[in-house]
Amino acid sequence: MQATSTTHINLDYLRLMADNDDEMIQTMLAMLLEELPEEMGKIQELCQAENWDELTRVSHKMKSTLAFVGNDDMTNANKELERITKYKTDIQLAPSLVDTLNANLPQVLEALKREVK
Amino acid sequence: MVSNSTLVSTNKVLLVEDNPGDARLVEIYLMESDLQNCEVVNKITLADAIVALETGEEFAAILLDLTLPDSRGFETLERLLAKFPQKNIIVLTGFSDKEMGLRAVKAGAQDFLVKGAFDSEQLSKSLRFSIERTKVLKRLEETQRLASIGNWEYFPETGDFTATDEFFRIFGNTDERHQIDGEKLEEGDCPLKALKDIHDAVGITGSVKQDMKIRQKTGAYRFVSVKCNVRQDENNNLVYQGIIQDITDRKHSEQEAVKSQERYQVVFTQSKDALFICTFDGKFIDFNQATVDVFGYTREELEEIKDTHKLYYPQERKNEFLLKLKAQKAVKDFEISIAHKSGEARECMMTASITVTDDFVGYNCILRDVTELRQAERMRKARDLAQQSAHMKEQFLASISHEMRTPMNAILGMSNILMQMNLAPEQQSLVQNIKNSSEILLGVVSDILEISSIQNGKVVFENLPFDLTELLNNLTNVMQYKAQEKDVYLQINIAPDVPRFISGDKLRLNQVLYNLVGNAIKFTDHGHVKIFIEKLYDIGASVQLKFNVEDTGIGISEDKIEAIFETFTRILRKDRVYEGTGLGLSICKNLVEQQGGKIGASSVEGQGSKFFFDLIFEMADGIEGSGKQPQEPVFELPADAKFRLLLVEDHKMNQLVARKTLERKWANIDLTIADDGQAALDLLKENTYDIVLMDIQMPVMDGYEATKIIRETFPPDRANMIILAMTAHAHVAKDGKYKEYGMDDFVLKPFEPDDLFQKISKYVKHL
Repeated sequence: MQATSTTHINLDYLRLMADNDDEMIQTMLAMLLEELPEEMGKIQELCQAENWDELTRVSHKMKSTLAFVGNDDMTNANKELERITKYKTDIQLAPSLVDTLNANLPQVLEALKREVK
Repeated sequence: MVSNSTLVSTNKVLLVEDNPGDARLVEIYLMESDLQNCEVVNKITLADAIVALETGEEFAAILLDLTLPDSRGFETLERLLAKFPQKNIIVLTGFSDKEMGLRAVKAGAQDFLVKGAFDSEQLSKSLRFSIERTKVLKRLEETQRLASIGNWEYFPETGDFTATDEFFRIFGNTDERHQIDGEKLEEGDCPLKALKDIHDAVGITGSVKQDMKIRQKTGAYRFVSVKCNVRQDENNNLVYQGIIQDITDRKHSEQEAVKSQERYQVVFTQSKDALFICTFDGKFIDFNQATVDVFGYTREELEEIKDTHKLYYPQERKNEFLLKLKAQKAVKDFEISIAHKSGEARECMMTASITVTDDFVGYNCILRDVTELRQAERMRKARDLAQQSAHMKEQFLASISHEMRTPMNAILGMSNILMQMNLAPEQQSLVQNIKNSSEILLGVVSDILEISSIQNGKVVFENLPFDLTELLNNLTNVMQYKAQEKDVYLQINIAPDVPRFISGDKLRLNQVLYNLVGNAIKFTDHGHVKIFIEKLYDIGASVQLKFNVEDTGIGISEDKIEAIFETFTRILRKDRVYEGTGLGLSICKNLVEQQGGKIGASSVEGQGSKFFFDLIFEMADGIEGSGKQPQEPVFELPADAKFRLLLVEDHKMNQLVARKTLERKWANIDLTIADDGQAALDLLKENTYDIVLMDIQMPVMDGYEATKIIRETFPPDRANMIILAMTAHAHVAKDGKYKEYGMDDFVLKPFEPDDLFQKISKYVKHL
């Protein structure tokens, strides 16, 4: 059950964890809509400042958030971002990974908003 | 030359003349002459003159008046000549004594001048000759000194003895040179006594040539080479003439050479490196024992080999060696292989240099056999590479397993949800299959990770007391269900002398037993699986136990049983596929052997198998604080359990999810959330909890640090709380890293609700 190009998100895990409780799902969606842009903003800032250690921490946190979103492109890019900033290998790839995250964000937010009742 | 310049600068002339008028006249003539820098020293008597000469003052010439206050006539000359035969004496005679002058020259004077008849020019001419002669004599003396050669003459008839300066230097007694005569030579303590023996020998043979050792007065020895002849002078008197050469330095260097040769011989014979001298055609001229050892041929065989270069290969390398050696005169650490007589290739390093003597052109060579060294290097490299790749494999497996767990957990979780829905029986069965397969896959991931860490020596074995009976009861309780499903009777027997409390790694023992018993049930459709534990030996305070697991299953064929413990070996049957990775027994073998035990199996195909292993355990008195019942079913806290839980987690959504999940399970749970480690510490100052779930990575203060502070600084009721690590990193759990920081256990994120419930139940129920 992958996120398709038309949906951009896969809320299976979120629903599982919310035990299909509608109220809980709505709360979590609201949290995602709030936290995703906030965390993305931080990631962008830290990447520009080349503050890799802090970026590793934010990216690690973002991993938990993205688990609920279910967008593979973002999950993979973020995972890679955490790895390269942690081990400082191929660090020059960081900006392009941040771009990938950014590029996906609007559609993801749109898709999440559509789920909000 | 130094002596030359000395003569030029100060040509001293000794004027032995008692007549002041004559003396003055000589000085005037000298000043008028073209002789430069001539200084006249005037002595009035013969005695004074002799004193001046004996003090060592150098005079280019002696102008000698024969009529002196203390000596008159020809005797004056004779007395002076006897003392100083080498000196240039110019005799001054009166006009009437011209005959005397001629006689004087005959007797050994260099020239004569008739007083009142010679002029400045004549004086100058005569003196110049003297000066030149002195120079020549000086040079001769110098040459003798340089060559350490002295000579002497001895007139036995008169007892007269004359010798050169170098002669006396050789004997070490220059001071006495003017007192030597026939009597002196006879004296026992005179070093010159040696000459008497020579003269005696010459008296018989006519000439003597010999090397000998002489002793100087100081006691020092000199080696000398002596040659002596005897002749007759015009008066038929005997004259002994000899030359003596100091060869001490040469002797010493010869002795040094002998010593050095001896030392070289020791090195040569005892060296572990092959040392040899070889012509450019490859013929050995000389070689040591190591050469024999390196090439493997006998000494005789090596001597007969016309071209030892043929033993080197590759051919191009040998040519390169010879070319390089000829071009550069020396070659250092040249790598080449040689063919040992056995046919074996030996890797060698050659260091050689060209050596040329009168009758030989070739090279000497040090050849070191580095075969073993190179092998060791290659093995080290291979080992490094293996370690590196093992490390990479481990990293790869760890990350793969981590990546696989998350989706697997999702599959399992969603299968659980699906099964709770109203499904048609067929659907229910399909979902059940999905769930089973997922569980197997998760098991595979765990096995792979496990074998990887065992094989990399990452497993650290615990040594803690535990209750063996309890462990076995738990094992049978769990396995009983599986056995009953299959109509297999599970039986456990413990020999009465097996101690109940022992010390060791309980978890690992459990793991091995689960594996063996699980396998036994898996491969047995009917009959029984028997577990039997017996004591083999008491070893001091320890005990060696043997664990046997016997089944009546399909068995293993004889040709397969050897390989059964190897990685990825599986029982394949035509009619049936048994699930598993083929890693289980390999894990068991590694676990047992790394704890110093042995594992084995015997089987009859179609009748059953027996697996057994032994391990040594320390005996324990009991388990501290153990009030537990020996038999314990898998326990889950009842739905109405009341307990206090502190969740330390910075991620808001995880907080929410955990809270909802836990509150759904246990309605009466008292759950508090702290956003980070510091917030948790603040809460703990005022509150106590039954259990803490601690995220590792958090802002402000991470989970490791918070745990450390709780364990070290809080009062016992909080310092000893159960703390479970929550981590998204598989390695944190697998490496037992959480333990280092004082945490009791771990929960993997994203968490699976059942896993979370079980872990909490496991710890909270003990409170």
